Amino acid sequence: MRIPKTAAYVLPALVLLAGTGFAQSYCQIQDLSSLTLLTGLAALASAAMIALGFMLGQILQNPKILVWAKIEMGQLAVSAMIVILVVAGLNVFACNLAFSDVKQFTGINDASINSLGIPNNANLIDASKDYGRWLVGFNHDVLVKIRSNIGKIELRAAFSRWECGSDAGGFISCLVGGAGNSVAKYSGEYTISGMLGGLLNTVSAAYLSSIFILFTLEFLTSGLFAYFLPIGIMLRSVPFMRGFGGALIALVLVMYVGYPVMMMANLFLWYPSYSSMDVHAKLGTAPNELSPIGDNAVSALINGPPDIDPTPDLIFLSTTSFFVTMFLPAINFIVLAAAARSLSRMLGDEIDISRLAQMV
Amino acid sequence: MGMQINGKARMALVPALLLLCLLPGYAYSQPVVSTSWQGYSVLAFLISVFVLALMYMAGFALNSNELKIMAHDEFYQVIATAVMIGLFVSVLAWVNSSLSPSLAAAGGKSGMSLLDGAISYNDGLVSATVSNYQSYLENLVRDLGRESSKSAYCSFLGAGMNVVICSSLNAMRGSLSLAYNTVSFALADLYAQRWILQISNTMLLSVILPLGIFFRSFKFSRAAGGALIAVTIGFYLIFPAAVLFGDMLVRTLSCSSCAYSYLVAPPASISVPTCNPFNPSNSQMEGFFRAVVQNKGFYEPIVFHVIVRCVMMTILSLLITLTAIRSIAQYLGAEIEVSGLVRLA
Repeated sequence: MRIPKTAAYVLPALVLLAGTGFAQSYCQIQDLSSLTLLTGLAALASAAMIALGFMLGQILQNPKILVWAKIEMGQLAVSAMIVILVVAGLNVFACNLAFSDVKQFTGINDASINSLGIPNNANLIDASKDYGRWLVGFNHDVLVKIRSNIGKIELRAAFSRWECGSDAGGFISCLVGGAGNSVAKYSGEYTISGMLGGLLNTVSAAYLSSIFILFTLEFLTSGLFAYFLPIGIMLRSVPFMRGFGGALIALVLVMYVGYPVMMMANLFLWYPSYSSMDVHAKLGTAPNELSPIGDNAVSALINGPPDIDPTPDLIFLSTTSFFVTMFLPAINFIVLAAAARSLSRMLGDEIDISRLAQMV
Repeated sequence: MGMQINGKARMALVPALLLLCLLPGYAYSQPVVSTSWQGYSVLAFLISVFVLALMYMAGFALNSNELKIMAHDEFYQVIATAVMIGLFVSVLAWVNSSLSPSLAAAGGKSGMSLLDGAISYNDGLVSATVSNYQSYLENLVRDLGRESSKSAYCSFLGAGMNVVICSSLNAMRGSLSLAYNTVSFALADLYAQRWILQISNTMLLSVILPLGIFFRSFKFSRAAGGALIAVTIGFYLIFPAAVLFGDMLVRTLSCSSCAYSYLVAPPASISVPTCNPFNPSNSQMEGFFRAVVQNKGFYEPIVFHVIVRCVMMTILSLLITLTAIRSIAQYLGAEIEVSGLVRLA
């Protein structure tokens, strides 16, 4: 019997695939090593199914089944090659590329980047997670700062002073008729409180967005998207589902390689300007949000409550929070969507990114 | 057994070999924007060539026309990437030395690069917005709150009366608060614009461009690379130019019914009258209402500065940039979806 030409692709691919199953664990991504093995088993199961089909075609002398088996064998080889590329991509980009390599690549290796405390030997996914945690903390600090100022304003605006006899004819009027006037000196700050409420909404959205970013990265390392890989490989071997399988594989590649790379790009884009743009100075020390005017209420009653922070600084901080947590990730999304679209088109079916973009 | 190379393949090989000879020298040449990205770009290029050579050999070994055609097509893409790297270095040198200062000068910022000019303009606008509008309105609403809160109290033999007669000043609180909120959010717009200009000036060429060139070297990441290069061009060149030309556009506005130039004049200075709750002055209050409502010199500069200069021009600059990014990305082989970002803008 003449061996089909596709066997020349399939056999080395399967051998390589089996090898990847026993490779080193991928950046401590849970389940990914076992999933690679599972992917290899899925490929072998598909190969067995196709071999059965081929035998059936030979027995029945049915050219349609024989052609189907040959085509599917070729596609299985392509799938196996794709898995090898994905695993290699993961190992190179997401796992073996260290934070220090990125610093060397960008030529940015200054004190500001080092102050983040990300270990030099951290791989891209771990470094992205460290940055994600820092981002959550930063947004929380800005949130607390604005909330504390709103709290201060609420106390200041309700503060009123009784000025006995002040505009009513002086001290005598005060003594005789108890005449005088009261003034809520800071009540105009309710307007500022309204504006700060708007900023608080924006920063809250940024804060939630940063948590979403961190959780996405956590889900990546806990292997959520990795399950798409064996499913994608199996689906690529099933007639009519090849496109969908390709789309799933593309999604894995984009999420595990593209997403951490873009997060690192974000970090290196804006963080070196953290000090030069005075973000650190304007943020200052973390305020006590539960006691915005401190414990000295008597002093506040006599001398007036302490002043609020300059509002342009608060506006700047909330803009920074929005910019680094929502604007830059939106640019990331554009780039990742373009990558996912072209990759999935290359591997099978096109992912409908426009609907996803609308949702995001 | 010698391998025959046909005429077309030979023609493609000539420029490719020339480029390969030039690349090592280029990798060690004087850096234009960063110390290391050129080396990585060359490395990416060489890896692509190596992978293509393997693909072509596999095509010969397996007698697969598909593989050979794919390798052939990809080879042209690799040449295009190499040309692009060289072109970028040249264009960046030209942009930094010639085009950028010329555009900045056209935008009224002589002796500066395009981005420095745009940053200088933006900083000036932030400073004017804070001092002439935001702080001014903030003080006004504070004064208004203080005066309108004043109440008079008088008692006789245990019976008393409290009158908050100055609260009529609150009639102006809504409109002044609206003006203050609008100015504050316009300031947020300007700060966001400042951030974009900041990262464009300092990090875009060191981080995003090399990443884009690196990604564009490989077929599977070409779209992402194209999108990144488009983003770099958009925010490095188009965005600052749009900011400066937006300023020019505003400066050339002619307004026949305007009493003075809004560009230089801050809003007319008004102050909240001191209110005596026992004897409020009607004429003072009326004067204040008139100063706020009927004085064109108060609201018109605020509306012009905030709505036209800060909000509209910021959005326009971003829209122009995003549209340009989309078009450039198409040329670089990436279809990108900017509608989400436009909504964000």
